[in-house]
Parts: sequence; C-alpha cells; structure tokens
Amino acid sequence: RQRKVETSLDAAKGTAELLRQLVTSSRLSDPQSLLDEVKRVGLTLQAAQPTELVIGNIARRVLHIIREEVEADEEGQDEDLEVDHAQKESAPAMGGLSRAFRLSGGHGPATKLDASRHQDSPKKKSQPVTFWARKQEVIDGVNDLIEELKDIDSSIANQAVEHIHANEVILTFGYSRTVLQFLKRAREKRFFQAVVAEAAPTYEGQRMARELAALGIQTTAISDSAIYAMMARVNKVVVTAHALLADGGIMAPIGMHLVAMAAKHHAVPFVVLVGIYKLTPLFAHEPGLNFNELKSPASILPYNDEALLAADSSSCLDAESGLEFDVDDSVSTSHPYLQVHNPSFDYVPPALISLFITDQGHGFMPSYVYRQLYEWYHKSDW
Amino acid sequence: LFAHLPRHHEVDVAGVVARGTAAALPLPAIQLGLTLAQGSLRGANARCIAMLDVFRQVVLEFRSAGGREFARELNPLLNSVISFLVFCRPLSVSMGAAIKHVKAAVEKLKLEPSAKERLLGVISSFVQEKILFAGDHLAGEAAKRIQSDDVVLTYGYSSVVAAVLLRAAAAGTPFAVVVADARPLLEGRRMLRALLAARVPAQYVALNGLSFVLPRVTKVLLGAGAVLSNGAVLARAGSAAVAMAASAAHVPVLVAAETYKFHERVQLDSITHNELGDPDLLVEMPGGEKAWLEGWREQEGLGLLSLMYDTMPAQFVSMVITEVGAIPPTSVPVILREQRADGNMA
Repeated sequence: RQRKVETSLDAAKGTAELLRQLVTSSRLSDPQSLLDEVKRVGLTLQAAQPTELVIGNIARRVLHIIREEVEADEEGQDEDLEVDHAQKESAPAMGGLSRAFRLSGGHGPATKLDASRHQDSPKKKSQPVTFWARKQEVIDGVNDLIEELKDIDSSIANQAVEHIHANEVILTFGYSRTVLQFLKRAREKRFFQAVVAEAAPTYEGQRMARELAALGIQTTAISDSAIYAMMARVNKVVVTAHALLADGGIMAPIGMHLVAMAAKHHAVPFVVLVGIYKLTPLFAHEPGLNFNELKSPASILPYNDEALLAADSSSCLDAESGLEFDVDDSVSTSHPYLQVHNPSFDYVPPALISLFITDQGHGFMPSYVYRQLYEWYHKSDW
Repeated sequence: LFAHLPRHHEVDVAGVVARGTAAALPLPAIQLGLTLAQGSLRGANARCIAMLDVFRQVVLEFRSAGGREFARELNPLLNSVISFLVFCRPLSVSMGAAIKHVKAAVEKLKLEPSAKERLLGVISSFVQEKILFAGDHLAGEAAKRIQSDDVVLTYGYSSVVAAVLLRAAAAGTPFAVVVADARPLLEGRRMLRALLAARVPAQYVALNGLSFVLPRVTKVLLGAGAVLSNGAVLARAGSAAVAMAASAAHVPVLVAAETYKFHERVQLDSITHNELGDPDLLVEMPGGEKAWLEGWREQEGLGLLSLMYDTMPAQFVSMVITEVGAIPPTSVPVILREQRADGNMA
C-alpha cells in the first residue's frame, strides 16, 4: 500500500514468496481451507494496491496449483483433518503480512501463525501422510512459479532475434526493463535504430533513451506529440503492458492507446512483450476492477501555472478548493471551474495488437489469450 | 531520416551580426527574425501579420533612386529580408502565401509615382481581408456550430479556435472545453488562460490522456498551419493524433482555417514537409525532476528530435470551416482553383 514495491515483477515475486510462506507454515488442514486462506490473503493484498493486478494473478496461480494437487489426489481426503481457521490472517495481522511482503517472506506471518496455533482448540488430525505429500507438491509448484518469475525478461529476450531485423526502426514508449533486455539481445546480432517516446507524465522514456544509447543502439528520443508523425517511418512498435486482460486487450501506461492507433493507421505491427504472470482473468470494464489510477494533477498543470493564477484572480475557480480535482463523468456546462485529469493507465483493445511475446517461448495472437487462461488459472478462481 | 529538413540552429544577435549582411537589413526585420528564432512569436496568423508589418515598414522607408523600375529596386531588399527571416526560422505556409501576394503586386507596379502607396495598400488589404476579416467571419460562422452542452476538444493554441470559442461564449451558449496539450511547447496553457478568463468551463489533459477524455467529448475543433490540396491538414505536432483518436471514436473533427492558408501542394505523411524544432526543449524536466537527457550530445548514439508539425490525412477531418463557408476536405482543390482564377484576373 505504501508503494514501496516498485514494479509489477517485484509485486509478483513478493506475493509468490509470501504465499509459499503461508502454505509452508500452514498447519495441516484440508485443502479447502488452504484454498480459502490463500484466497483471503490474496484479496487483502490486492485491495492494498488495486491496480497491481499481478497480485491477484499470482494468488490465482497458487490456487490453481493447489486445485491441481487436489484433483490429482481425489481419494484419501479425510474429513477429520484439523481446521486452521484463517481469522489470524485478517485485518489485525495485516501489519505482519505487509511487513513480510516488504521483506520478501520475513518472519511476520510465521510468528503470527505460531501464536495462533497455541490458541486453536486441538482437533484430532488424521491421515497426515497423504496430505503432506500433496502439500509438498504445492510448495514445489509455488517454487516453480517463483523460478519462472526470475527468468521472465531473459525468456522473452530469447525471442528478440526472431523479431528484430536489420536496419529496422523500432518505436517504444516509456521505460521497460523487459523491452530494454529484448532490444539489448537483438543488438548483439543485428543493427537497428530505436525511437523512444518520452511518455508524459512520467517521462520515463527519457531514461529509456539514455539506457538504450548506452547499449550501443542508435536511439532518438521524441516527445509524445511526434509519435503519429514518426510512425510513418517506423517498422515495428515494441512495448510492454501493465496487465494482459482476458479479452486480449492490455492495460498499459497512459498514451499507449494513441500509439497503438497510430501504428494501426500506418500498418505498423504492434508487439507487446509480457510475462504470462501478467495475464489476468479480468476484463477492463468489470465492475470490481479499479481500472485507473488518477494521480495528482500537478504533474500535468503545476499549481503555480500562470493560467491558474490568472483564473484565480478573475474568480473563475471555486473559492474554497482552488483547483478542483473531479472524477465526475459528467461535465458541468454552467459551473466555471477547472478540471485537470491525470489518469495513469490506458486500455488498448485486442484489435490494435498484432502479437504477444511471452516468457512461455512463443508468440500468440490476442484471440488466443482466452484459451491461455485455462492453462494457468482455474475457472472457479476467475 | 530528416536530412531533407533544415537542421535547427541557434540564432542570436551575435550570430546575426557575424552574418555580415545585417548592416543592410532594416531594424524591424532583424527584430522580427530574432523573435521568431527564439519562439516567442508562434502561430500562422501572428507570424504572417508580423512579417507583413515588417514589409510595410520596409516599403515606407524605401527611397527609390528614381527613374528605374520600382520593382527592380525593391525586390532585392525584400528578398534579403525574406531570406534573413528564413534563416531565423523556416517560413510558414501563411507567410509564403503573403509573400507570393506581395511580390505579385510589386511586379505589377512598375514606374508609378504612387507605387509606394499602392503597395502599402495591397499589404494592408491583405491583412485586413485575408486574415482579420476572414478570421472574424469564420469565428462567427463556426461559433454557430457550437451548441448548448457541447464539450469541445481542442489541442494546443490556435488564434482562430480561441476566437471561435470566445465568440460562442460571448453569445451565451453554455458549453465546456477540453484542452489537450503536449511538450515541448505546452501552448495549450495559453488557450486555458484565455478560456478561464472568459469564464468558460475548461478541462486540461495531457495528449496522452486523450482516450480517457474522449468519451465525454462531442466535437473537436482544431486550428491549422496549412490546408493542402489533397485535403490533408498541417498543424502543430500532436494534432494528427487528436484527429485520429476522435475520428476512431466517431467524434466530428472541425478544422478552422482561413482560405489564405490553403496550399496547392499535396502531402502524404508528416515527414516530407516539416520543421525541426529546438531539441534542447525536450531536455528540461518539469518540477525539478531528474533530466535524463541532460548532456545528450555527449552520449554516442543518442539523438533528440523535436518536430513542429504533423499532417493529418483528409479521412480524419469531417469539415474545414473557412470564411467562405464550411467544406469537406475533398473540396479544398475547388477553393484553390478559385483562388488561382482570382489571382489571374486581378
């Protein structure tokens, strides 16, 4: 919640490690309550950072792993297994969980669970042998997941040479480690040029331009206003996404929709590099999904801008709040006030995307995304 | 990629003096050149009017040696002024149209005693008819198209669009404006100031946030640097993206331009004709954030590009509003043909 976790990948790793901790230290219980625990923890974590969808994704991956083990071991499930109630994982323990989250699997939850264990009314546990085997498999599965998360960028970069050819002009938007690694790997074998759009309001593209040039790639930095103009000379657009949505669309940094539209207009392939851990079973317009994050308007229009000062003096702005920051959908035509919008994310529909390249070793079309959901998640967790 | 476009270069007083020809140039020309080079004066109409004002002063001060053709003596002076202005900053299409008009007039006025007065008249009537009156008439016509509860999206600053919006506001129509803006010029803030001063409800958004606001927009109103024969519209870099997004969302795109900005050339993309702006404007970061591009010239392989214009194809434009009426972009050659015919007859 404190945004101490910077990137989606870190969030994913943290979530996975936390859940591994949870599974490892959870006392013998029937798988259903383990599922409930993981779900509850996942929801709590996701609520702390609603736009960081990988948290939910990883939780679902773990649930999928557990369910697979359950299905693999149909027989032998005893009803007399001890139930470890999960109320310790609720709000009061959040502090412990988030501490663990930041320390990537520290001792927080372990100590909490230890404490709760003593409070539990002891029930008879039976059939420990079969459940241990299953649980170990679950832990192995989560370990595999964590391993997978370590190699995302290099798995994606392995495919770079296939997609970047000699003397191509590649356009990218903003900063992405994944794209950086991808282009770096391509540079080892090919000579090409890069054009980087600075991506207001973060302007991370400037950092990307610097780092690309340092890798020996001929790079040109442009402002976002020049993207459409430049697209006439670009061969390929390579970008990353914040999340890969169930319909094959993506959630990406604001401005990406314009890039995708310009690419479509100029018949330039729009390629999205994305780790499969970013695949989410949610759609962009789901009621529960908090799609956008509206940040401070000061990044767009500084508080001391002349326009505001002049307006203030002509008493155009609301006297109390000065600068009104309104999320209202309707636009009032009778109230003279100023709204400044600073959304963080954009939705790019699947029709504008040519190809997804993931760490799973192959590229696929947006229309195939829906099928991928079955591979990684269980339907009841969507 | 941009070898066909003149590189941006710094122009300052020292450079001008060093050029050697400065002594022969009239002071107003030098002043205007420096103003243009520094970017303090931007916009098709503003630059054109300022240039014509310099011409007016040049003609006023001009002393003919007598006995020779007026044109033969004035032309070299005029040419040196023009080439200096070009050196400071490439001409806009509007300026080009004005120059063509003035030069044609100079040619016609041979050994006339009242040649000077006649020429001054030509210059002033060009400004009055083609720019000021045209803009005023256009504003009136276009303002009628803004209806109650419209949400009008515009990009950057255009004197014509500002005139239209303020006219509509003055007429009492309740509407709101969304101003989209982008670096490095951030001209939209100027539009915002004008709107807020006129108590028009305004929203301000970065160009990147366009898809976020577009669902609430009812029409788009843009200015133009030039309208080309194939219906394409040359405007400030970023305008094409606005037109593209609006067109995809089925929001009408209205381009307001006086007919003197119409030009016979055709343009297929934004690269063939453009202007390179000052790349260093991109380096500065707002709010004291780290400037990653600082010292970019020292980094091998790193280049900065600042394009001043882009060209939106006719398919994105619903209507071009001029002082002679509202036309679809496909009818631009018709207007050009009439202008040519008028030119021949005059």
